[in-house]
Amino acid sequence: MRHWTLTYSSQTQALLWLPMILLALVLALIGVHVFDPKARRWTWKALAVIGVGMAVGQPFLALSWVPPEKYMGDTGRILYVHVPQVWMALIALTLNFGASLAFLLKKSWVSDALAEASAEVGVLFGAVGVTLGALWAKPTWGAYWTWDARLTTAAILLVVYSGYLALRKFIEDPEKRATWSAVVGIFAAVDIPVLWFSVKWWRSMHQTQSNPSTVDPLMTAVLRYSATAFLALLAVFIYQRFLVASAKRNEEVALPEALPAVGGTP
Amino acid sequence: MNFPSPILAADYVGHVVGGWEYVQGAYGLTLVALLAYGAYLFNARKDRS
Repeated sequence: MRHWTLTYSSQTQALLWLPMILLALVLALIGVHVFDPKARRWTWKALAVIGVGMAVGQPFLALSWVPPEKYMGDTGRILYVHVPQVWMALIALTLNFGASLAFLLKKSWVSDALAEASAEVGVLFGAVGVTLGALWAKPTWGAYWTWDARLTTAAILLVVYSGYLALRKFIEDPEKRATWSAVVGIFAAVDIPVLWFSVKWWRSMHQTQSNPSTVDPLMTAVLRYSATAFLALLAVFIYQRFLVASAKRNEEVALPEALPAVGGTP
Repeated sequence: MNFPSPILAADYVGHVVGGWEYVQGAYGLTLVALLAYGAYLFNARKDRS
């Protein structure tokens, strides 16, 4: 593999740290949000401001500031939306796995509401990410779609989690719905590592994962910046969708024999 | 025409097609999807409150 050694001015090098600082800030806010319930009134708003603000600046950095990719030219700029969108989908669906497991172990409505929220937001980011990949494939591979290992496992992921969301719509009894969907969520998560490693396990048109040592630092910085912006939005979306699911669950489980309501057992 | 590697093929196709229309489509789609879902959540929260 060919390694490029580039030198930048000290000002540019200092700027390259900015995405890491913003990422640390977003992760800290998510941490406070998760572990301090009283802070949730302002943490999600802070994440929304950061996410929207960064998302507004993202096209400028990705479409103008960073130079075009060596081989693909300007088409390579799709990298800065395609890759973070898929990363966010995988984070959300991994959260769905954790919440599904937690529901089966603790029978808490919080876990069920979180599973519902993370699956829906994960499917949103996944569908956008896969569509962006198809838009990128056309000018680089010559076709929007090919049944290569990475694309096939991504399609399976979307179909399975769309089925998961459909299952949740079809079952009226909240306890049955939560239990069955938790089981499906656990089995569906098998595809997440398969998708991630598919480019290493099988010969694929899709490239393997890059790392900062093989990518220009400017490209790495913009990719990190984009991922941080989408991470902040992902956290806001999941939290807001969680509140909707929690409110619906509280309406459904008002019966005394039902499991405790969302506010009852965290 | 035979290309010696997929990279060169990508380079060739990239030059012929240009690629900006795909980039614009990708960024436009991302923007619309995020805004639409944000609006959907805003309405859903308003209905529940």
